[in-house]
Amino acid sequence: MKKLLTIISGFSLFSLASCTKVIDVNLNSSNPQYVVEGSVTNAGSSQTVHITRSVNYNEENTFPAVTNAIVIISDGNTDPDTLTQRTPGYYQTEKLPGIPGHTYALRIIVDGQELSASSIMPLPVPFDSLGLLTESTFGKEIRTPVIAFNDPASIHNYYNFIVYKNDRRSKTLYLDFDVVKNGVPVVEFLRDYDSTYNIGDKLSVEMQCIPQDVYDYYASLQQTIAQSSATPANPISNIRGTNVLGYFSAHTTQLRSLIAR
Amino acid sequence: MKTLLSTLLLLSCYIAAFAQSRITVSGYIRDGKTGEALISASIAVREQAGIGTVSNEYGFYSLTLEKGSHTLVVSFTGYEPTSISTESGEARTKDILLYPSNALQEVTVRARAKNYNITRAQMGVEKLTTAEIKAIPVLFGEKDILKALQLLPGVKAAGDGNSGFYVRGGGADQNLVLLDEAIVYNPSHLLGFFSTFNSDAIKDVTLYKCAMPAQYGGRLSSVEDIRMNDGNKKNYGVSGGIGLISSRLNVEGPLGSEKGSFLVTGRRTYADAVAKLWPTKNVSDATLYFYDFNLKANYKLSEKDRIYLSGYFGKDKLGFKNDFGLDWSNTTATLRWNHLISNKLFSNASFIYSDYNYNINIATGGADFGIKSEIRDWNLKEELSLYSSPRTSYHFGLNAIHHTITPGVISNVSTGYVLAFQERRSLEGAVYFSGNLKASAKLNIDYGVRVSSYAALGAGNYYNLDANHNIADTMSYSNGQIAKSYVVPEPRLSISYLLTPTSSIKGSYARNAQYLHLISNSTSSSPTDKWIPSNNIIKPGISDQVSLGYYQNFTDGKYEFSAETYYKTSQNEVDYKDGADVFTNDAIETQLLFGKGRAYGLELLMKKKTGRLTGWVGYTLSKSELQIDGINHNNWYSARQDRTHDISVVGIYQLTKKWNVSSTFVYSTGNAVSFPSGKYNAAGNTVFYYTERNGYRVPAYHRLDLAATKELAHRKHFSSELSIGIYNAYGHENPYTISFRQNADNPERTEAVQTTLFKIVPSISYNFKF
Repeated sequence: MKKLLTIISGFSLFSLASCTKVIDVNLNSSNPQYVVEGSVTNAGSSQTVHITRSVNYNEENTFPAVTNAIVIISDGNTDPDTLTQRTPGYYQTEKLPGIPGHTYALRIIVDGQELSASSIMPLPVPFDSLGLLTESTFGKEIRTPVIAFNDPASIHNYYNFIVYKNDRRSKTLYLDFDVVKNGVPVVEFLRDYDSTYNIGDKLSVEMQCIPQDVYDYYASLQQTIAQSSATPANPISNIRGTNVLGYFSAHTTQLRSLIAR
Repeated sequence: MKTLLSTLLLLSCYIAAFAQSRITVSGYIRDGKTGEALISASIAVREQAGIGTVSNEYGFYSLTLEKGSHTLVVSFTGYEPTSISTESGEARTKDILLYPSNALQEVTVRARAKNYNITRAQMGVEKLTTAEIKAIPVLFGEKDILKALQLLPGVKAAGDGNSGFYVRGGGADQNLVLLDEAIVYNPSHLLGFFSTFNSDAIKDVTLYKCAMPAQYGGRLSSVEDIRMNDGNKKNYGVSGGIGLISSRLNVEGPLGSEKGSFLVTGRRTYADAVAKLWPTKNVSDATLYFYDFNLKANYKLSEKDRIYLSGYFGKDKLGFKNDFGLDWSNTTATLRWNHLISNKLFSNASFIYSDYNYNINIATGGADFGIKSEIRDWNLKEELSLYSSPRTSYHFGLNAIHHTITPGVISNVSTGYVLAFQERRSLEGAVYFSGNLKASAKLNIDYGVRVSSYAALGAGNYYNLDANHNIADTMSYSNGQIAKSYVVPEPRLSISYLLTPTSSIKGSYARNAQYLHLISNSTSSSPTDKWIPSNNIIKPGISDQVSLGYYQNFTDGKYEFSAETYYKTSQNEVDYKDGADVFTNDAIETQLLFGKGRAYGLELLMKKKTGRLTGWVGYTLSKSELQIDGINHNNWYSARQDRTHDISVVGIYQLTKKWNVSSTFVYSTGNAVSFPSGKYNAAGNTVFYYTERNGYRVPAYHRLDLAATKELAHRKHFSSELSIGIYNAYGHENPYTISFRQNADNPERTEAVQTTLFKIVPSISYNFKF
C-alpha cells in the first residue's frame, strides 16, 4: 500500500501540491481495555504475561500497568502455576518448562472478571542462517537482514520473526507461513526501508514457530497497524473474556545474532 | 419460451386484424452529416397530442397511425428539429436525417416531443451525449463520461478524481456498466483516475437510477448503458488530441457505398515518460501507463438486416523497477444482428464476450510471487420489439451468460510452487417481457417482468459452514453439475400522470437481483478487488426500490425541474469479517459476513437546456445504512458511501463564437469512516483501538473546476481547438486518506494526518479533426 501511495503521489506530480498535513479530529473516548501479551516458550522455565490498559486517543502514549491481576498458567500435566508480579504489570514464573506439542492454559482474574486462553506449542523448525545483504530498492542502498530455513513437509507452519538492531526491537512485524512454499528451503528478506546496518551494528533475529491462532492475531495486527484497510478493526484475539485485547502464545524460540562488517 | 412465442404470435394476429385501418411508418433516424444513428430521438404527431415514439438503440423507429395525413415532428438534443408529412396511403419506410444545430442560435421547438421528459413513464433516468460532456472541466483535461455522470444528483464519486461511483447509496459494484451491451467489470484506468471509456469513441450514455427497463439486470443499483459511435458513413475522417497526460487518435469512414461504416480509436497515456524527467529517483523509477482501443464496424446486409461488430481492449501497467508490478486489462467484443421481421417487429441478436484479468508480481528477494485472477463471460441475448400502435409497444427477450471466474493463482517463481484456487463456473439466465401503454392522454405506463436465474456449476468443491464460519463439510460436484441454483422474479413498473402539459408526477417500483459480488477492502477502487460468484453460502443480492417524482418544464422547455424521492432495501449485502484474509483462502465465504441494507433520499435537479448558458444545479439529501451480523454489535451503521448532502453545479457558457467557458462546483458530506477511539501497546507498537464501524466522518469535500476552449480553426476539411483547465481551482485540500501516527517531536502524542492528492491541477490539450 505504501508503494502504491508512492506511485500515486509520483503520478500527481503535475499538481502544484499534493500534500499531507496534520488535522484536528474530535475522537470519542473509550472504555479502557485489558491488553494481554502472554507467552510460553521452549527456552527454559521462565514465562511472562504482561498486562496493560488502553488509553484514550488524546492521552499520552503511557500505558498503565494492570497490577491487581491473578495470573495462572497450567500445562495440563502439572499443577497450575500462579505467576508472581515482579515489576508492575509483568507477571512471571520460573518453574514452567515450555515443551513443544503441549497445550498451555492461561487464566487471569482481574477486577472480578475472568479472562482465559489456551495455546498449543508447535514443533520447532531449525533456524539455519542469518545474514545481511546489500540491495538497492526504491532508489536507496540499504543492508537488509536475510534469514534462511527449511520448511518441513507438513503443511501449516507459521512463523514470527522479531528483529533487534543494537538490542532495540524493530517495530516492523515479520510473519510467514507456508501456503506457497510448503516443504521447501525458504529465504526471507526482513526489510525495513527506514533502517540500514552500518559496520559495527549488532543484528539479532528471533525466530518463533507460532500456532495458527497467534499467526491470525499478528496478521490482523499488521493490518491494524498499517491502517490500509477501509474498514479498520481490532486484531483477532485468542483470549476469551470482555474488554480484552492481545494474545496468549505458546511458541518455540531461537535467536541468531551477528555484527555488521 | 414457448408461451412467449405464442403470445407474440397472438399479438401479431391481433395487430394484423387492425392493419386495414392503419398505416405504419418506420425507418432510421440519423445524423445528416455523418450518418450516425441517433438514439432516443423523439417523433411526435403534431395533430395528436401525446402520441409519438422514440428511436431505439440503433436509431430505428416504428409508428402505427390511423389512415390519413399526419405531420411527424422529429427532434433530438443539439439538432435542428424537422417535420415530415405522411400522406394517406400505404405503409412505408422513411429514414429521417437531422442536422446539428448551431449552438449560438436560440432553438425553439414547439413540438410536444420537447416534453418527453414529462410524458414518458420512465423516471430516474439521465442521458448524456459526448457532445454535452465535452465542455465539462475534468482532471488532467481527459474528458470522461463516468465523471460527467457523477455531477448528477444521486450519483457520487468514489473518491477524489476517481471514476468509480455510487448510485443512490449502493456500492460501487452495484452498477451495471455496459459498453455496447458487454459488461465492463473494472471500468477504470490508473487506479480509478480515468474511466475505460475514451470519449472520442462514445456516442452517449444512459443512466438508470431506478425502475430500469426489464432488459437490464444483474446489478442492484443502476445501469450505465454506454453506446459507441458507429463511425462516419459518408466521409473518411481523422481526429485526435494531444494532452498533458495522454494522446488520442480516431479514424472513421464509410464501408461499401454507404452500406456501412467503421471506427477505430486509440489512446495512450505517457505519465511515466514525463515522470522519467523528474529529479526524484523514486518517481523516475516508476512504470505507469495505460492504452486502449475501441473498434466498431457496421454493415447493411439487406434492407432488413444489419450487422454490428464492436470491440474494446484496454491495458494498464503499473510498477516500480523490478520490485513490484501490477497490470490489468479489460476486453469486450459484441457481435449484433438487427433484423426487421416486419416494419413493426424489430429483432436484435447479440453475442458478447467480456474478460477482465489482473496480474501482480512481487519480488521479495528470496521468493518471487505472481498472483493472477480473471473473470470471463460468454453472453447470448435475443430481443424482439413490437411497435403495435402509437399507444402500445412490447419487448420480449432472452439472455444467458456463462461466467468463469479464476479467483486467484498464486505462484512462487523461485520454487515453482503453485497454489491455485478453484475456478468457478456459473450460468446466469433471464427471460423478460416489458410493455408500454399510453392508457390515456395523461396516463403512461411502463410495465415488465424479468425472471432471472442463476446456477453455480461444478466441477469443484462447495462447502457447508458451521456457526463460526469454518468449513463443516465439503461437497464435490462434477463438471457442469448444478451445486446451487436461484430464481428471482423481478417486477418493474413505472407510471406517469400528466398534471398539466408541462408537468407530471411519476411513480415506480423495481426489484433487481445481483449474482456476482465485488469484495473490496481498500479505501479507493482497486484493480485487485475480487469478483465472487454466488453459491450455496453466498446468496444473490436482491434490492427493492420505490420512487416518487415530480417533473416540470418551464419557458417552453428551456428549463427542466425534477424532484425525486426513493426508498430502497437490499438483502444479502456482503462484507469482510474483521481481519479477513481473502488472498490465501479458497473458501472465501469463511471470510465474509452477510446482512442487509437500506437507502433513502431526495434528489432535486434544475437544468437549463438551451441558450448561451446551459447547465444544471443538483442537490441530494440521502442516507445509506447496512446491518450485518458480526459488525458493529449487529447494529445499523452508515455505509462508507453514505453522504448526507451532495451539491453539484455545472455551467457552460458560449462566450463568443470562438470561446467557450465552463465551470463545475461540487460539495458533499465526507464519507463515513472508522477512526480509533483509543490506543494501546502491542508487539512494540502503539496500536489504535476501534470501537465502531464507520462511526466518524472525513471532512466535507468541495472543489471548483474551470475550463475554457478556444476554436483555433474551423474550415471545411480541418478544424482544431485548444482547451485549458484547472482542477480544484481554489486549491482546497480534500482528504484522500486520513491516518494516525506518533508525533515526531513528542512521541507521547498521537496526531491525525491527512493526505491530499490533487491540490491545483492545471491541464492543456489540443484537439484536431480533418
